[in-house]
Amino acid sequence: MLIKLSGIKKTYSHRRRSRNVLTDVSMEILRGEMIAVMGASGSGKSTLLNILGGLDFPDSGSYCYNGKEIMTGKQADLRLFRREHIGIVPQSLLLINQISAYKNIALPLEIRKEKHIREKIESVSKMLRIEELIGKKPGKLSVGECQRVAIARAVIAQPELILADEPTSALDQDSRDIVAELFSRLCSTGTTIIIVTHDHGLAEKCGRSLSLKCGILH
Amino acid sequence: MKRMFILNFCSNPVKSVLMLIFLMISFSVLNTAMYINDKYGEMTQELRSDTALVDVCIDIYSGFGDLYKDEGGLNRLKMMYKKLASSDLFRYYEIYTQFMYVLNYDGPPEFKYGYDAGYDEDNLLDTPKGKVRASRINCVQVSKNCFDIYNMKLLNGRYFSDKDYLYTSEKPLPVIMGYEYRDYYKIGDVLKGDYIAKKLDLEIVGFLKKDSHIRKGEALLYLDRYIVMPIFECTEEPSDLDERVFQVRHYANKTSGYLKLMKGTVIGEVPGIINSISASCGLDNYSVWHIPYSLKVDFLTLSNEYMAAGLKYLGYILMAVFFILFIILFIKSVRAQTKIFAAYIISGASLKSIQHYLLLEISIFILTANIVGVLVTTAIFRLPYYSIYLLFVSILLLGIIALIIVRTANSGSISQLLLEENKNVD
Repeated sequence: MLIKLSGIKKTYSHRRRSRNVLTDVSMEILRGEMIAVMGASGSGKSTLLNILGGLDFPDSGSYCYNGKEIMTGKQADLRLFRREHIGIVPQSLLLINQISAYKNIALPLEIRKEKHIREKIESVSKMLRIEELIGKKPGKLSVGECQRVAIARAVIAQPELILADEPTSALDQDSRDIVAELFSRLCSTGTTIIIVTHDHGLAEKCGRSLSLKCGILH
Repeated sequence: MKRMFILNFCSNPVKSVLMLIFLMISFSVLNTAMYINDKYGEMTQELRSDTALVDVCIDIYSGFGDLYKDEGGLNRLKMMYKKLASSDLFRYYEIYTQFMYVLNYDGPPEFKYGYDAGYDEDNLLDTPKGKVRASRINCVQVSKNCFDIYNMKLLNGRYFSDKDYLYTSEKPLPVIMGYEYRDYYKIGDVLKGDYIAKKLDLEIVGFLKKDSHIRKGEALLYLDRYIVMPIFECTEEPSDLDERVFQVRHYANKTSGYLKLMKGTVIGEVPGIINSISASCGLDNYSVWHIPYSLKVDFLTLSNEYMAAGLKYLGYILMAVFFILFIILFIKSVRAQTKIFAAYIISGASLKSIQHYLLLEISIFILTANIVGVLVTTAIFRLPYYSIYLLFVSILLLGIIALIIVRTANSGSISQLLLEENKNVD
């Protein structure tokens, strides 16, 4: 088992009012699974993804990754976990507009000080059919093209776990198929993928679908 | 890290350049204000201690030798002195630095005349008891009015009285010792001295406070290692040639002093005034020269006390304004960059490295501002100057920035940003 969440709770406070975003979420995910997490806006999907990606701490509960507790409370442990195991496609994409798509994709490799960056980027670009786009800055690309660049950045370092928040929301059917194919191929090599999506078509291609309603996992 | 720095600088060059300019202006203003404050404070302290700055120095130098031979020479000098001391056109201050031989001196060598220049060897002087070892000791002869205008305050003992300025051979001459003598002598001690070949008993009547000083021309003369002696009047007529030679030399010293011009006296007329006095006394011309205070006086004229204080406070206000602007811009810049930081974090960068980068960036800004601040002050005043306040403010600013970084660029803010961005997308 790759991931085991037990009794995860998360509450956000705003102006002295608190809101339960995740209530006692428990789940188990096997290596190589592709899982869709569905739910209405504000149901806690992104918060769950942030916790799974080590970007946020739960208020309580346990998060075991590969049998090891992740939420030790130490930022350094979390950073190491993120760097070594996680690839993230955020809903807002978070591409840096001042640099080219190529440099955006190369960022995880540069941070890890990896070699053969060009070859790796060429290979991923080919799979996502963005070879022609990588010289351009994100501002010059369509939202769909940016989404593919963000996916390329998430997968470039070959992480064990990919967390994708609405990765196909702005894509046309052809592009959705390309992304779905890429994810399927990655799954077959043992990569685990968790996708937050409203796209039923993409959810059907996932091995398992989970539903979040008012912070409770169904 | 390098990429992040370039990214930030290039992502909003106007904001970055503005931040740097604000910081450079505030540091330049601070350094300049502190320079003015320091230098003005130094000058006012110096000048306040000399409220009646002397304007003119006069010196007897020609025809001096003939006065020994001429029986009336001494009287002419005494007349000259009286006319100088009673003039309505100026006030006359007698200051003369004539070393004093002290017999069997056993104090530290630093107090000896010529010690710094390396010619402080002792001499052997003839006395009724035979040859005696004598050391030349720094000594200054001053008139009573010098105590009113110069910084010559007593640590203990007493000032010279009017009687002390009337010398008779029957009683010892009172002297006041510089501050550093206090460990070697005490009030009431009597030294055997030789002042221009006249044997004198010198009775210590007081000690000066530390850093007491007088002004000799443009320079300050600190008296910590000096013997201060009243530049007395001789009440007894010379009984022999030696005594007359002594009195001639002494009055030559007494008529070589400093003038503070009274209101209405024009400096250009002073040589004429002095030489008409000397001519009326049957003496040759005196050398007269104006004491230039050059930059110091000019600067003081330009910037009076209020102006200097105003500049200082204006500097503080400007600095505070630019500081606040800098901090506001920095906060805005960090917030604007949060998206870039988030991109780095989801790509595997650590929050710490981002915080370090921000601190490094600001440190470079602060260092640049420090250098520019010093260069600007140097360019204005042609003197390199670095105020310790710059260092203090730099550390303070770095501390404030570090706090802002910890509060704004933290994991909470990054995950919050992701959620907010998601809401925007939704």
